[in-house]
Amino acid sequence: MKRLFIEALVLFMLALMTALLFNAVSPRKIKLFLPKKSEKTVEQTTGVQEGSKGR
Amino acid sequence: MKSANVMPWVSFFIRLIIGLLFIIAALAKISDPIGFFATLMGFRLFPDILLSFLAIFVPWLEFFLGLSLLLGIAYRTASFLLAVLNLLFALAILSVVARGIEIDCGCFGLLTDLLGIPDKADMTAVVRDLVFAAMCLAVFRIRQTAFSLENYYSART
Repeated sequence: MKRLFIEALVLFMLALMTALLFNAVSPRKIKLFLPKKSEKTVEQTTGVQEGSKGR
Repeated sequence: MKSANVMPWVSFFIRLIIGLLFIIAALAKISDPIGFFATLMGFRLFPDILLSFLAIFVPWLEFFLGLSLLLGIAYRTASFLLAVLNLLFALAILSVVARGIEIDCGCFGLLTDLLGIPDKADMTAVVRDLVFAAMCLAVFRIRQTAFSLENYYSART
């Protein structure tokens, strides 16, 4: 059981390190931390300006 | 032939099939991380921050587990983890089917487009993942296997 746990940990760490390293050097990388949505994005998505009261 | 003599060979052939399958599936996803990210987004199961992490981590985990199974290094641990991973995949696809969302399951990444393999998230995919999970659990249960690096090194020392 202990061996199973240690081997699982090693495999997980190996995959995690390789994934992060590969993502860092890859030209088709994915941003791990996405920026927060700007007000403009919200306006574009909803079509409603912030602060507008409508009719 | 006694079943004790056959079982290591059964384990070896399952290792060969599952190992190769997961390495190929992983490489197809690694080559198109943004496509896999979009597929995961379609499941509507994970928050954004977890989504990007899963999109880069899961293919590499599949790759190393497949490689470990194929070479026979820590193959029992790898088979157990792959069984768990397949059960999680089956659950995720089942949730999509239950909610009536029609998407690709993303199991074979770019290969589905290149080879024209049907890869829908439907009950066939759930059954396929459950069969893979059962095969992995069989390797875990059998304990003995033919042609593994682990056995080779333990026999030398």
